[in-house]
Amino acid sequence: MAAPKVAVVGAGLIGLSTALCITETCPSCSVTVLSDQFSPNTTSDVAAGILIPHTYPDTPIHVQKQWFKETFSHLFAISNSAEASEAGIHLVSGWQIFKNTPKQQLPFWSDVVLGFRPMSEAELQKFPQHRFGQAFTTLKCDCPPYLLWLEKRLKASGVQIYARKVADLWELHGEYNIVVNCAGIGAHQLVGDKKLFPIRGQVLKVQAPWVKNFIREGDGLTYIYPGIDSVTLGGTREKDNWSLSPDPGTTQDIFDRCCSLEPSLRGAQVVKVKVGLRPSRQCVRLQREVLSQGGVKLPVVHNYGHGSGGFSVHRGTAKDAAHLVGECIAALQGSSSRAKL
Amino acid sequence: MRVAVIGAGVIGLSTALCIHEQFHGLVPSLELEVYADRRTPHTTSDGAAGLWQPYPSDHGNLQETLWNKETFDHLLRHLGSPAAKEMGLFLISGYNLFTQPVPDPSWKNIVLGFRNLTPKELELFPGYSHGWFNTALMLECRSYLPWLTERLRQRGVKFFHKKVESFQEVSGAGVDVVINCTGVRAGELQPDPELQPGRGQVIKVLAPWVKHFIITHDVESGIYNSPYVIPGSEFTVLGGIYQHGNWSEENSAQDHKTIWENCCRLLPALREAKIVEEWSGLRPARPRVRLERESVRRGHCQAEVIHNYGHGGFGITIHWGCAMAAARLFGSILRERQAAGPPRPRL
Repeated sequence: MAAPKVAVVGAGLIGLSTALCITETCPSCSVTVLSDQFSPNTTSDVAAGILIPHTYPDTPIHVQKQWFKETFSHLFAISNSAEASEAGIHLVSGWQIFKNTPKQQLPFWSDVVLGFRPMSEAELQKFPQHRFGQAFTTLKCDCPPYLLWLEKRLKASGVQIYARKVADLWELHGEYNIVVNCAGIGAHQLVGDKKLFPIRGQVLKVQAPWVKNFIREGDGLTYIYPGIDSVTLGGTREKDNWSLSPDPGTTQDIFDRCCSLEPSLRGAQVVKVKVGLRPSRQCVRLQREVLSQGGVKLPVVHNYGHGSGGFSVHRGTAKDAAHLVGECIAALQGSSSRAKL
Repeated sequence: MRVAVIGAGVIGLSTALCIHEQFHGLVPSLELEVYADRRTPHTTSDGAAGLWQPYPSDHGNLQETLWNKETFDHLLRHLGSPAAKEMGLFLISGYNLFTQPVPDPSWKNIVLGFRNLTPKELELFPGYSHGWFNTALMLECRSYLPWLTERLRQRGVKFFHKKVESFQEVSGAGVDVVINCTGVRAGELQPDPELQPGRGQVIKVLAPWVKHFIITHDVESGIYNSPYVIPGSEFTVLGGIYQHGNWSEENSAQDHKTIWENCCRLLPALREAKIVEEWSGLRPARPRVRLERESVRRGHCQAEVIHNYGHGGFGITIHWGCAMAAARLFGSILRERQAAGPPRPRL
């Protein structure tokens, strides 16, 4: 097979990072990214992009840890380089706080982030309603900058990026040898995955450049993540809610919850209210599938369903997906040589 | 009773506020005046980044350590108040880097979450083998000084934009107590060979992705002669110059080069940062802070002077502790006057 033609469906964080990994592991591939949405209109653009993993119930912990480690060290290197500001990657320190001491005091990722330790009594005094907390330093990927930087690197590698709504993966079978499905929440419709469901999140982007530390409540519902140009205040976790319209009552509620953790936010101007549908699943769907129709086969690699944890594991899952693409190519080359016999 | 504060930097304004807060109720006749030829944003305090951090070693000066602690605790209490943003006060975490092991600083239990750096963190800073991480405070004087000024104006304190040439100039005009907060130019009012300028230069850039302070230390170069990066609410301050005895307030191209190259080596992404401003200032350096009373007499004029100057590169760090100490000295002057002088309203 001359130059395997790979189509990546989806131009959010997962689609772009997966496309990039494919060009790295398979330099002979011709990679094309197809999507109906691009930055700043993807789900990824709504997220703050903080690297604090979500736990997938049905994925083995050691796999999730490996994905996170891979992602963290990849981004750590970029944050330390001259490209950090263009890529939108920066270190940020802060606190995860709990009203009641959690059973699991050491999350699986505590030795991957930097300087993880319990908060001191003096630190906890800043949060009178909270009894326990963890202090650490992690990374943040600001979007759009990170997605735009990925697009730039893709184009420099010769990847074509087209705006196109793909309604059915079979549409692509004549033009491409392998399809990589990074459609995120779009996979619900694209491949009819009923195990994929939205967890709606609303966030506020505010102007508060004096906020230098993140604050996150242990249940993940209330958080303050300082970014390059704005601070993200959140949030909500509304299962099966498909609405993309910001709700004003929710805006006020998020603002009040965040101000109770960080009173200085009262003086912050709200610049934008955004909504994203976390593409949630019991486990990330990261697997090969061969679609078959009327004797014709289409190899597909699925890489979607990252829910709340996309940023934290994106590079790890992208590398695994690229590896699966490699397996698809090997299988195609094997069957084409068999066809010759 | 007329009290004149000379100097409107962080020391002058905070001392004025401290004295007024504590004694206005007790001394209804108290008239407080502030004299300064330079006001915000043109004072030495305005040029500082505003990071609360004492020097790594206190050289056994426990008094100054206590004043530092008093200041930190005072500011920390204000953190949750609505005034914090207006004061230019916020929390900030960051790194102190060393090329060799050093003992823990006197302030390790004053700041929040003090710890040593892990090996992985040190990977971020090639060339440095040891370091500290902690959370401290920023107090930006271009917000704090106007805030202090407003608090003082609301209390009826008068401001005079003029250069005071001698203590007698104010004591002769009927001022009973002079508070000398003249910083690096205190020698013009009264010679003090121990007071020297510690010249610094800084470059202000736009680098909003930097969320931590990074202060490097080099035992051989001495304090502040090693690069530092301090992110503020609008700009990030790059520095690393300390020239003892240099009175020049002109920006030096050589110092610019030193700061820029050293800071970009420390944080490569700074090369993309846009330079917004450059500034030079003179730290009022002294082996120790001069905080004491003195009776100054010339002819028939006698005035009590409270000296409060010589805070080097840690004025913001120590200011409130010193203001409180100056207020205590003021209180002792009042008690003496009450004991010695003609009948006065009950103190």
